Amino acid sequence: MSLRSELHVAYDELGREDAGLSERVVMTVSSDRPRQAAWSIRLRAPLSLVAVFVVIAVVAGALVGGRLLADWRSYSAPPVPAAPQTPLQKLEARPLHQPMVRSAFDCPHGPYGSGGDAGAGPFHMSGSAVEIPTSWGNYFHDFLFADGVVAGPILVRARDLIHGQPVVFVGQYASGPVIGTDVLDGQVVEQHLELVIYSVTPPYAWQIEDGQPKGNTGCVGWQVDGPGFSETINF
Amino acid sequence: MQQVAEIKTPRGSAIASERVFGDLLRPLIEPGFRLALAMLHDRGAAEDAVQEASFTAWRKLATMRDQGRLRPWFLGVVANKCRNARRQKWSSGVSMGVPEELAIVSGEDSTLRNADLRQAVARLPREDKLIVVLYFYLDLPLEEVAIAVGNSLSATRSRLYRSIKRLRPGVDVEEALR
Repeated sequence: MSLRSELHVAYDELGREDAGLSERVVMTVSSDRPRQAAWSIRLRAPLSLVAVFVVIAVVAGALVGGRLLADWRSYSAPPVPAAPQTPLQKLEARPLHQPMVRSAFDCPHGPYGSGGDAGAGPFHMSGSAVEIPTSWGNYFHDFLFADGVVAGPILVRARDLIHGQPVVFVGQYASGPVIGTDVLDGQVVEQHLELVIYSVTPPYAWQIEDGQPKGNTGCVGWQVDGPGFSETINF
Repeated sequence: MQQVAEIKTPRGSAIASERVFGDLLRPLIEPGFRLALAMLHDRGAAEDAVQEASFTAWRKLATMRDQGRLRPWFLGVVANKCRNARRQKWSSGVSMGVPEELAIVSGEDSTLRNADLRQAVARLPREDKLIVVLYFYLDLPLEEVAIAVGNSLSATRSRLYRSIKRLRPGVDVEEALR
């Protein structure tokens, strides 16, 4: 018996698909769609108006408030000492260690572990099959893993080591400066330069969404910084 | 040998419509479920993984440019859901996936052989295991396996060969690939 046949027998023994599973899944997913669409239609118009007002208010407030504050300080207040840096600001102040390379031939790889994940620890990275193209570039769903408990915050940054273009982050853990916007799944998303994880807790795995512009070389250097360590990863 | 259904996808913006989506998704559920079951060894968890993958597919499908890659892309999403499911289970402590009652309930040689083989595959690194299941159990061509795992064809082939060597040390690789 061939290995293929043996594996068919071995896995078929675990069970087969229920007759109605396909229809059940399609029905469930389809029935969820109108609810999502309704939410977005109801919220989109008012939220955009609110956003405009908030932006105007913030700008006006900053201008007026800044001037008043400067005037007031010039009258009375002694110079205020600089606020102590937060742990995240200290990590952000660290430079990116990985040097630029001339071509893809010089691109570093790994280090890879036995499981195929990249990174020597305490953090590891792994790609996935999810790739979402947009007019700007491509977004990937990658995975970040930790060996275990690590004190946070954790700062992740990455750049193309040939062109120098930064990798952008969107989604749940995106943080830091916004360098642009893109339309992803019909929604406008902000492209951040950093990814920050504040709390490293079980299961020590995070699905991250990162984007690279069109024309990227695929030679990307990642840097994971935390209090007490700085790790570089290439994959 | 059971073949995964070939996916014929229509072109144009209508891909996002419900009926078209249903037509696209339906033939993917069965291979998705088999993949999830082979990865997780748990019927309920496998159904959950396929359901979650389908939600993701629903959200992302409209942005897919190359619809010819739909099947390996969807299976890649299922694999990711399985990975997340496994990691969540690991945090609460779980075995490698071989049903414990199998060896106790049945003493038949074939059942034990099957369990041994599943366990041997389960011990492979995650990506190698995924490649073995997609290639041998779902009968996907190697090109689609490479897309599903997000690796180059050569890297996927090399991992497959390495896995075969681990599973069947004495067997010629080319022979095992048939």
